[in-house]
Amino acid sequence: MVIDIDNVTKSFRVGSGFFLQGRKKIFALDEVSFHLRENEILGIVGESGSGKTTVARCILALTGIDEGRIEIHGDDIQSASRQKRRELRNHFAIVFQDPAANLNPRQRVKNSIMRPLILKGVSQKEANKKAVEAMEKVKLDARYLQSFPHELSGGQQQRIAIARALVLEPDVMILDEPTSALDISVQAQILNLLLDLQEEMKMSYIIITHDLNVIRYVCDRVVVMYMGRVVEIASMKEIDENPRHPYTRMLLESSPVLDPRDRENRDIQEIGEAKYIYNPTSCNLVGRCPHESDICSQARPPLEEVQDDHFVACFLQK
Amino acid sequence: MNTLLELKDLSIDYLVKDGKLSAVNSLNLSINRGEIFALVGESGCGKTTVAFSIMRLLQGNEQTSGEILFEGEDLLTLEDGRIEKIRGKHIGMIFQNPLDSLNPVYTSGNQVAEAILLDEKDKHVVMEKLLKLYEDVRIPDAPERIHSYPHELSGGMRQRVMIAMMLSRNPQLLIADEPTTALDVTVEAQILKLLKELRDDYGSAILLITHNFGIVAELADRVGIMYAGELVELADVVEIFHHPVHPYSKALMASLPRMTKEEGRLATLDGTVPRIIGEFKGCRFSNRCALAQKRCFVDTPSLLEIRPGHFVQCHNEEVLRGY
Ligand SMILES: Nc1ncnc2c1ncn2[C@@H]1O[C@H](COP(=O)(O)OP(=O)(O)O)[C@@H](O)[C@H]1O
Ligand SMILES: Nc1ncnc2c1ncn2[C@@H]1O[C@H](COP(=O)(O)OP(=O)(O)O)[C@@H](O)[C@H]1O
Ligand SMILES: [Mg+2]
Ligand SMILES: [Mg+2]
Repeated sequence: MVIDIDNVTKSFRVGSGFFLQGRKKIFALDEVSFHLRENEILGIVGESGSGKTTVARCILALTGIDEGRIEIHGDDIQSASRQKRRELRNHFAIVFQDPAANLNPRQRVKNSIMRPLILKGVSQKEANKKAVEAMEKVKLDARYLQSFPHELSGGQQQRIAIARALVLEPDVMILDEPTSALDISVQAQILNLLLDLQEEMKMSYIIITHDLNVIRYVCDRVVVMYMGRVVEIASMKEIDENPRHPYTRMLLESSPVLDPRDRENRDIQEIGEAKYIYNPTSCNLVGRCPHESDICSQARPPLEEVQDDHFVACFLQK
Repeated sequence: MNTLLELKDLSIDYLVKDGKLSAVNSLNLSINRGEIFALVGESGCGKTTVAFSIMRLLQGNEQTSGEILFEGEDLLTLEDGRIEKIRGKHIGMIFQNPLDSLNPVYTSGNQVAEAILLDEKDKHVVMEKLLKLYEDVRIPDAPERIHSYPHELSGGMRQRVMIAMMLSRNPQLLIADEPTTALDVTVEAQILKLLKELRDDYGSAILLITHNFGIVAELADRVGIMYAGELVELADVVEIFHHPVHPYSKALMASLPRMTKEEGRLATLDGTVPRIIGEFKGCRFSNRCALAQKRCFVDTPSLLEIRPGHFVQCHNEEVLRGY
């Protein structure tokens, strides 16, 4: 097991908005458990606000947690010493959605890529060599090492961000909406690149996205989140062929078809929008779920294995 | 006549530092009444420029030639008063970010009412119409929501308010420029459904501008594929998805994630959309085209009808035959 997330809760206090009377507690993560296996590509999917980015930040211990435990190769990163944390973080690389946010605009690409190496004490010459190798890996001409980010296209910037992530030879890459800002032809390039790299370097990925078509193409397993809670975990194939949670089905039904001949068969339900309501004695989907029954607002459905390696948090699946 | 909007030989150049940037070149297309026409292409292809030129919203650093005929009237040569009337009444537009077009200091209901007031003076009727519109666009708790300011609404709700505003005028043409790009798929699906109902119930034609083929597959009747300011292919939506002919359309279709990694790798297209400054000879796609021949770098191709209603702009005989 590469990462093991066990019952993690993370809340934020949010200030007085128009709808929030006084300061309220928002549970960005609410008893979240899942793990990342060796050499797998795990997708996390859910609407915005479901806690996907927060999970990534907690795994890297960029933010603390209220409760639970996060282990990286068996080591608890959240309660580790600073020194140990830094060591554990070396296992990771992270790439964000906005290509520009991944790179320092005032630094040449070369410096951006070499910096993490230099910080680690690698010699200038060695760092240079590694930067050239990283460029090869992401299939970019080495002359772009001399460029500034603004001179590059979005797709090139995202490749550089991946190159930079790779120089420390991580065994896990966390990608937060890596292709959402890109055109589809560029998206295809980046997805293929990620798949090639994973095969070549035997890494594991966590890919966060709201695009189920992307998840279907690249992922082995999928974690579906809704309002801070995990509602379903299963292999991609299972999610596709046998989705068990009503929310997972909602996402699949909303996902664009990519074939105009399929559109007539679709019936988009008026399901409203995700709304954050915290109620420890009710399912979060109450009010939005087409299959609601009395029990749903009386207790919280626990995440349970309903089939081999297929977990669902829904009373109606019993 | 069935044609509502007709672009005739429309060319738009931006005057930029290094010369004249050709953003739209000799564009010819027409949109029928009640039709959903999608204009697609990678970013920088000129889609928004087309939309803005129809609305006469370009900023003034451009040179436009050709005609934009709306019900036979050339919008490009209309006087300002008349164009404003058409914009207010017959052509509406919604953008990617509705916050840009909503006024932050007025409640959402106020702004929709404003639009209704253009042709209805009776306060009670206005209120009735307002609530009905909120219902039509499925905004829950309408009597309360009309008092919300734009920033108090979610992205999806704002887009619904924009659509309500459009409906109030019952425009013959709605231009939607990346209307769901900032939204979650669940909300996107509902907005798309709403746009379809708008066409079905109100009979509005929609010019849908997007780089998202999922939206095209969901909504469009006909599709125009744009590349570097030109239309390279134009056909019925099923034709475009199942029998794309132009090498660029083919490449785009092949890059859609419609399979799993076990089944293979997606096809890719190297390079980027060129910025074309000044005179250009040849096909604009030639430097990225795997099938380019000598002539593609010299002669400018024109749009040919290869089958009834299916147009392609390509020199290559085999491409044109290959079906
Ligand atoms: N630093 C923060 N302060 C307050 N609230 C936060 C913070 N970070 C995240 N949140 C809240 O936590 C929830 C989950 O956010 P996030 O993890 O960004 O979701 P996602 O990435 O799935 O869109 C949201 O309601 C968000 O507003
Ligand atoms: N106001 C402007 N001034 C100069 N160039 C512009 C302006 N607006 C757009 N462009 C350029 O025109 C081309 C087409 O842009 P646009 O119509 O926005 O494309 P799309 O909507 O397809 O992404 C691009 O090269 C863009 O940089
Ligand atoms: Mg996020
Ligand atoms: Mg645009």
